[in-house]
Amino acid sequence: MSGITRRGFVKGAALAPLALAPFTSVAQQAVPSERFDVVVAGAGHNSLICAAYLAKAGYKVLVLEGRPTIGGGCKTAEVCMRGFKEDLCSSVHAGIQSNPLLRDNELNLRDYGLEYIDPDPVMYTQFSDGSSIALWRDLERTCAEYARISKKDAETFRRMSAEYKAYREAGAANRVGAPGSSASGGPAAAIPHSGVWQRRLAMSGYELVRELFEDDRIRNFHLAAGHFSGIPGGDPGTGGQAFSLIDQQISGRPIPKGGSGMLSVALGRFLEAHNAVVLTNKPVTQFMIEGGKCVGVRCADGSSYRAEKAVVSTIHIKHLVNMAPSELWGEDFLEGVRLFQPEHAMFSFHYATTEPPKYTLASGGTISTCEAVFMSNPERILRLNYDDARGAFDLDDPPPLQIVSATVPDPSRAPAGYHTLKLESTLPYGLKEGPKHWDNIKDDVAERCLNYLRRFAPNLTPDKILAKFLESPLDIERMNPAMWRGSAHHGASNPAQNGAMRPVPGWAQYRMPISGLYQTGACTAPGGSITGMPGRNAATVMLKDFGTSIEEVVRKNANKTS
Amino acid sequence: MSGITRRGFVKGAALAPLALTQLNSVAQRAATSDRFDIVVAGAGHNSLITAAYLAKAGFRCVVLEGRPTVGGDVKSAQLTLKGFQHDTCSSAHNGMQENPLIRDNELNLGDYGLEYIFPDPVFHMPFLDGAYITQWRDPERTIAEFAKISKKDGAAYRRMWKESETIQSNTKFWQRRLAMSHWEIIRDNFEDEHCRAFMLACPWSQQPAQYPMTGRIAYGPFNQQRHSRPLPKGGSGKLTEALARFIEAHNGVILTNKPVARLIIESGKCAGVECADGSAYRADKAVLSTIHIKHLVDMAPRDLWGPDFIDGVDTWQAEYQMFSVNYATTEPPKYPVAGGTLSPVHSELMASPERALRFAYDYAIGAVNVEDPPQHIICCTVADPTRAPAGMHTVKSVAYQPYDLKQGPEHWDKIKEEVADANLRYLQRFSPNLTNDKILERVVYSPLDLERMNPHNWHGSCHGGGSGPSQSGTMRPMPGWAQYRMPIPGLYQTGGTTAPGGSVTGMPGRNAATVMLKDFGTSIEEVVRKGANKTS
Repeated sequence: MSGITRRGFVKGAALAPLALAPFTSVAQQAVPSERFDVVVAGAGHNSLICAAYLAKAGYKVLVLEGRPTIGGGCKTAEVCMRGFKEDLCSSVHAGIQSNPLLRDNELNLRDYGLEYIDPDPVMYTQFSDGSSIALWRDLERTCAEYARISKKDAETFRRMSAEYKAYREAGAANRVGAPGSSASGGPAAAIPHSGVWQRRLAMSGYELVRELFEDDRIRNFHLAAGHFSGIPGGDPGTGGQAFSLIDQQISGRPIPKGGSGMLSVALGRFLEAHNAVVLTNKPVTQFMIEGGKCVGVRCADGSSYRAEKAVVSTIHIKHLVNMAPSELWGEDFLEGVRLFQPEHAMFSFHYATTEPPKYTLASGGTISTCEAVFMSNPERILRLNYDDARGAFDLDDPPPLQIVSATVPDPSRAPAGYHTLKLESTLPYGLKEGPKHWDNIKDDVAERCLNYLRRFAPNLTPDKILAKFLESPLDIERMNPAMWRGSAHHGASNPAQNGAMRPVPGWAQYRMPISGLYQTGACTAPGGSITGMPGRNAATVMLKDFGTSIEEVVRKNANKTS
Repeated sequence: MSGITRRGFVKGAALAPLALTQLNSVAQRAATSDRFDIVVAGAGHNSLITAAYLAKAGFRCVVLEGRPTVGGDVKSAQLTLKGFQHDTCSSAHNGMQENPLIRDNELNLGDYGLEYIFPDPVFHMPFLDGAYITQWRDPERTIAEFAKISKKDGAAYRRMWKESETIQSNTKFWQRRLAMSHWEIIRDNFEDEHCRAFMLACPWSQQPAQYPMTGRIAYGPFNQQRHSRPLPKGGSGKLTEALARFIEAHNGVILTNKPVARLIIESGKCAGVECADGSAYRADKAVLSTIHIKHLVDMAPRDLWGPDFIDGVDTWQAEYQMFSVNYATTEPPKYPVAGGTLSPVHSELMASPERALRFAYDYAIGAVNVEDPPQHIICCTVADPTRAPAGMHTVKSVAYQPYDLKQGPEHWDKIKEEVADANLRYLQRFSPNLTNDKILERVVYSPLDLERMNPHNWHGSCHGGGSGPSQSGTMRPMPGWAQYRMPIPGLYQTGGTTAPGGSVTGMPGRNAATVMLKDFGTSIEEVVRKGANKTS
């Protein structure tokens, strides 16, 4: 550890090689005998964020990634055709905008190539009767779209938007300084109509949209867009899904220019600029334990890396517990891991196309939007649990389809005039025939989903599709073992696995039962999705344990004495 | 108010007249000029329990019931033929056994005619492939039933039975389990489909199996393993009859056919009630309501409730509704078992776990699904022959169907007999002896009929409304008003819309009494300890 400022070094030298490696295929070699303060097992956006704060604090950090490129669920690659940058999992970076990392520009990631685009319209949907709604960044324009369907619902949207803003502002004030806890402990009385909100959020999204909105199409739009979280909107505690579009209208749905993975790329650059080493093709298989303490890791290739201060993992907890003797975890922790449940599994179908979807407007003409969502009726959302439990589904009436056409606002992602297209939603991982059956059916499932989309975008004829790359729920798990059973968010985000119970009651503070081992990523609070909160929270806890604080690190920039 | 002990009076005099009125059609006249400390609007088992504690404390109570008899959903009546005593809604009083009222015998209700029967076997589930599982009072015998199907599931039943002794939410072990869905817990503990079906539906909990925060329901079978499913001798309504006798024996007045229509408000305070017939009753201390909150808010000017309370009432959701049929029969159901047949009080027909999981979807889309219709069958006369003429039986089928049909709830009047037929045909596949000639009479209650029978069964909700996380604990009936005190001073609320919710537990009733007595400067412990002595 040294106290020198690394900024000069960073700007001058480190950017160049990574800028040439568009997908962060970092493959520097580090001699295993090199000394590191912190070893990071897995390179998702959260563990990279955690590593970045630690590196900024002056700790010597080693990041080990099992795949050929870093990024985890925050990764972009040319999987369909050369020149077409497809987001393999996440596309939209909504949650992370309120993370101090970006909100307060704590790591200056823009200097490392991160730039956001704010698509407008934010969202689009169309119904079987031909009517449609575009959600615009402008509230009045959005309300006008709603009013074409229901004047009353347009008024409700405007009123709820104001109520939600007041609630969110009060809530944000309460959450300050409470890392990783969804129950803020702040003064609830500060929230206007707190009892009303308490009830709303504890209800199901389905119940609440029916109370708030009169028109079934508008209810349908809110439930379909609310489903992006992966939790069925019929479940209790999903009332927030009724407010999904209200939040999206207020906040937008930003995408990084060049691909979702540009966040991970920027973090990788930041790390290397701060004296860290990032190694890929290095799956961690075992923890080195000495005197009951975690002192390093072993990789599948037999190499081992020691950590002088700590190991931080973003390995899924279902795999994590197999990497050290079971008695070290303790029975309560192991029981909590056993009980940890997957979420409804995601599928993700990618296409390289010559045109974006052109949605037919009832008023004449077409519209192409960055995102759209299609679902047949509000009750469709209620079928998700039944299908998931029985391992079967009906594609005549597909689950709510999320469509991402990132090249519409960001042409840099494909050759001039060409486009990328992504279709995603949830379908059961555990098919009656077993998960392997996905390999037999995924082509057919993809074609039927695409055909469903063609009802609204008839221009997407087969000749417009140049190539495809299909990820079934099983493929998603194969691609990223942390997406256990196709859980893109590592596991359900429901009352049994949220807040103080994520990943396991008693271990929600990013410290694992084995001393010297920390955990971040979607298995930790506040869960999956691109929020960066598990990463920053883990850094907060670790820096505190190391005798400093994240505020100090941010304030003092790269100066550190250890 | 006076300080005399009323016990002597009670035992000698008050029992006689009620014992003669079999259906508790109490109809004493009270002059409206009579002075009362407490006016109770509605006579369900909870409000009667509150009234009983208040009466015991020495407060003069008048109980006003809109129907011809007291009891709400804890009522028995000759619904079909003379001599056949049917439970109109509830039958088993499990939850009540842990209420100090019964557990510690706080009101000596045995002296007022309440006696419990503890059936054995407790529960039985037959399957069409010939398999069956019987729950016996002896846990070892129940474990053997599971083990005969799957050794692993026998061990799982034993493990969870042991776990159930320690249920509490403040341990790491229970924190996650209680927040999970009961489907997840049952699926992960039991491997066999029959065993899973039994655990999901013994009986059906009216909560969708995959919903989070329902983990406790996976341990529901162990509650009845512990307590059986106790039946009051003579009918479920014997509890409310005993409470009515207790109240009358403690200087209380009970008036029936007195639906409360309006709350009397003076200077912003609730000072009494006005009934549909124009009569008015003033309360010197407080009014206690068990009127459903959806109706309650119409009984006083809206501005007195405040917008947050009104919003909470507006967003209040109904529960999964029941569809029940009461039969008078010449035989009980006889389910084939090894070496003969079995006639239990309680049985459930549930074809498979998948059938259970289908409920949430059918209900939400308003579909009446009579394919393999799940049913809870209750034949009380097996354990309590006093409920029917010698050798005869009462059989109740409780199924689950939505109130809100696509065509509107009134459509139930057109289809209910058809649905009852389908349910009966399904029952007959399991219990072939119950041929149509064994059925003397039947009466069908659709979800709409259940609401007509008792306006508190709002939208067919016999427990007042859903018991999901948004309507439980501190959110029942509404966040901020879960302490039985309503936004209008002087007005208290009990019954199924208050915590911990519906079902025959008596807890909303005893809790409301606890709060009121505290507000009146005394305590329920003091009232229980000191007998009927009170100085006010």
